[in-house]
Amino acid sequence: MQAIDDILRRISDAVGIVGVLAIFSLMMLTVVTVIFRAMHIAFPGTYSIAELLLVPAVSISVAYAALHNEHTRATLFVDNIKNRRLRLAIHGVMLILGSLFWVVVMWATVREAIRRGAQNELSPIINVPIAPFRWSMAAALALLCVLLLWQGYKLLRGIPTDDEQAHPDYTE
Amino acid sequence: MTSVSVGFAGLAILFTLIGFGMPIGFAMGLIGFAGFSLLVNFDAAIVRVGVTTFHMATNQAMGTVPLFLFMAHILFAAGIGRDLFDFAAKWLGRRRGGLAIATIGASAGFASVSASSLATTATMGLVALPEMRKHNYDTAMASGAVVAGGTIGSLIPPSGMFIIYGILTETSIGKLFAAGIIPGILLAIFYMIAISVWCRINPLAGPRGPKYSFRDKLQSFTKIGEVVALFALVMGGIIAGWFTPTEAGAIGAAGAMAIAIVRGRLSWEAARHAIYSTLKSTGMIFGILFGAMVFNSFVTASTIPLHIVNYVTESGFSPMVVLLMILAVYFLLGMVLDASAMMTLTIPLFFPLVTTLGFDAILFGVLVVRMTEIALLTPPVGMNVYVLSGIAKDIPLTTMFKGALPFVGADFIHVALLISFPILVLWLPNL
Repeated sequence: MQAIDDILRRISDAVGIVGVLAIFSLMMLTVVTVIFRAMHIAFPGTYSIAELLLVPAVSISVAYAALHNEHTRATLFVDNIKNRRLRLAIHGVMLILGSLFWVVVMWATVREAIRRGAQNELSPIINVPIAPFRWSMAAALALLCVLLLWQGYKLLRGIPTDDEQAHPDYTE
Repeated sequence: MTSVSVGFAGLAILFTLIGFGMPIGFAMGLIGFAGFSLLVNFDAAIVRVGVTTFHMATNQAMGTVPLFLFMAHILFAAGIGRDLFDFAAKWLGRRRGGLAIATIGASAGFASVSASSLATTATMGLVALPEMRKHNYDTAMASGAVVAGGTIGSLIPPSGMFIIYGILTETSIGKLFAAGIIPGILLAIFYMIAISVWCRINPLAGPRGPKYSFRDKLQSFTKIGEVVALFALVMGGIIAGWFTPTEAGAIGAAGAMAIAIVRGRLSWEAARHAIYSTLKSTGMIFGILFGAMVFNSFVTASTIPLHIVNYVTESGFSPMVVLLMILAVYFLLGMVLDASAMMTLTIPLFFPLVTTLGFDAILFGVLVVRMTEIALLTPPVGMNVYVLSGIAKDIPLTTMFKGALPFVGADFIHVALLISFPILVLWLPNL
């Protein structure tokens, strides 16, 4: 069990780096675009690049938040369940059920990737193929589903997640 | 089963799942997909999910979320909260209740670079609360000032709640940001008045703080000058039309990095922590937004909003009564739900009604954000209070909630003022 935990954490950390780079690149690209625009120098297509950069930034962030159990939950009622094992089991069932939504999103993304890929979908102005970005989103969602199912399974077996908080800890 | 019955059944199941602790975005997405499949068909639901989510992930306006969060996390790591409190305490601390007033002022200042109420509360909890306790402030007043000051975080831009509202209702995020400035400043003034009144009734609640020379006071400004300039650039740029909110976020994040580096306060570890925190917070927000967009499709297909509009217009209620009833619903929901959940769940139901009744989308946005923020102070969920109780573990929750009460009173007067004089909200965005 520890080995699987380690593997998932390593994969998520590696993928997290891609997400971090995407956010950082988005910032730099946007700043450069604004500065050059102020100097009346235009780079056509920077909006398209920014939109493509958002795909890994957003999809990876959702998986990364799941790894750290950061997705917002209302725990007012379940926190009052005295039996710890039952409380963890309910959390586990809810994560497994909730992962069904992300399975659907992943499936829908894969279908769209295949369909639009066959049509050679290109991004406007810069003519970059969009298919790899659709597939990268599907891959991040697959990781998200695996993470949720694994956390759900662990909770069902009575093992709490690393961070049982419902909200980010701003005091770190 | 009619589409409306399916809609209501979906809502009932949704609240059950949320009650059992399913992440709110996941529950909305799941019910939204299942409901849309039932009402339209499975294939259409799959296509809808694929198109909606990818469109959201590639929408340039969505860049506001990670970029403003990055700016806030960098400035948080650079310890800007302490500088702002130091500045406010030196100028205002000598008055009775002055440190509590300074906490409100510093919260308003921190709100101008932070996208979140919880972050503002946590920062002031770490910085201002120990100072007030050191000067023998009443713990109820001290904790009340911190948790109430935190709520200004969602009103003064950049604000995560305005971004979520703007995305859900397709309202201009830039105009929403502009709309929050005057109500945010007014709210800070209202809170300061509440503290002054409290100290007049009980002078021991907020003793006078230490005296500083004029030179000390002027020197404290040098520490916050760059942040004031950054806020002026970011918000001024949006209002003047120099750049879009996404571009403003990027400029703000880059500016925050530059300030932190120049001040020698951005270690590699702090920068790493800030960007990974950004990734986590972004994921948390998009986890809700993806679900909310799919849920929106289901609610629209169920025709519930249309039925609500028809019911209300036929019932003959005046628009103002309807608005007050909606705000009352927010107040009650706030007792059991988190702010972002409350907004994403209710906007698809209430927004069409409110706009049909002739209310301005921006005014409604500000009022909704206000109501969700009041919920951060009221039991039993009151998230700001829980954030502070995580920092000051020795102060009982009941003391904190009691301390927040006078500020909730000020909140209601503030909301009434905004409803009575919409110009306070709409003047700046309509410039």
